[in-house]
Amino acid sequence: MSTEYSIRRILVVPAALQAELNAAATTLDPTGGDATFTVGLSSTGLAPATHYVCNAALRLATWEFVEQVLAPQYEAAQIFDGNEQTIDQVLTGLGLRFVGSEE
Amino acid sequence: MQRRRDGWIGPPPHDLRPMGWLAAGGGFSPAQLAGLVLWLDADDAATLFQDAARSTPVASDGDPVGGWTDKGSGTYHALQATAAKRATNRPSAVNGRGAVEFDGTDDFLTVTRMAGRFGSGFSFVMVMRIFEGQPVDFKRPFGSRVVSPRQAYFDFLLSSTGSLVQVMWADHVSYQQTMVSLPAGDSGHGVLTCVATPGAAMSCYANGSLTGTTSIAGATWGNIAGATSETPLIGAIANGASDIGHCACQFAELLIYNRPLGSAERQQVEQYALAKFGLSP
Repeated sequence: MSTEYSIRRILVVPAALQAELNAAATTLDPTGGDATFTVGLSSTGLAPATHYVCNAALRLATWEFVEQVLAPQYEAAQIFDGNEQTIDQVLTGLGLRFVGSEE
Repeated sequence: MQRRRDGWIGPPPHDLRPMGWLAAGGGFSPAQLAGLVLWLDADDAATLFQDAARSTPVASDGDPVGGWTDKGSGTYHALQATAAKRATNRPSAVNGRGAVEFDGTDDFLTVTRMAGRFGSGFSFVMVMRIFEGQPVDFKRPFGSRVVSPRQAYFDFLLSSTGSLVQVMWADHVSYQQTMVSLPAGDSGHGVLTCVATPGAAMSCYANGSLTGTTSIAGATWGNIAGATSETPLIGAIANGASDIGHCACQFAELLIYNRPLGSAERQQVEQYALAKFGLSP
């Protein structure tokens, strides 16, 4: 049996939208959606984060809701096909690095 | 160290030749050894769930893993409440046996705090694979720490030199021991062991071979294993309320004992893991 979670998408959003998008994510994930965007990014890898990232495997119905309902409301959010690109490729293309992993 | 295609490989140690119980099919269970605190077994599909409530079992390759039942003490289940941060079920990742995969972006599972469980030391045995070796730095497949005063009873990190290092902190002083030198990119699966004896030493092993021993005589063990220890994460590390250092990796099995295993015991567990997952010593 193949998984229903076959659509992988990487979402990169401006830090200014973090709270709003975490709230929006609770529409799809009532129990934990408010922590969907917590991994920070910046051009230097140092705080403060200028963007946040989410890398998730989605069911078709979930993806359709994101694509058709949520995405049009947040044009500043960038969505990448995680089945085609790795997170490293996405971040390199955007000139961003993970924040806070250094000692 | 040389590496074969099936994992982290060193010269075959004399003490890891197949023993009678293994040749006969084993029958050994990690629970036979006293002090088993945590046992996560990705090859036991009945322990994997899509949700943190552990109500919806995984059914397919690629399903999310939001709950992983602890078969050891039954206390320290690994959980993730946020759907987008759940790990992925890989039921035949290790020579046909199961693993749980983390994406290196935001996936992680949280284990209930183990504060106070390690007053007599600890032993970790991990069957795992890291997809991002050198030159990646400060990625954490597994760890627990507090930021200030910097303390941790385990902090497995990828170093700037391309090694997986167990770093134990005590009041901002670090005690480090390399577990394995990683190749560029995918490491392959291996069995990694770390045994810590308070007031004495911390020793690490890769596929049964000793990779080194570090004195921890100077560490104040009570601070490391005490009540201030942070929540352990798998696939990342806790940094206060945040999760950082997400590592692209797979865990097939994770065993934690609340004491340093003796040499024969450690070999027994390592042999069990190597045989189970079809890995070479």
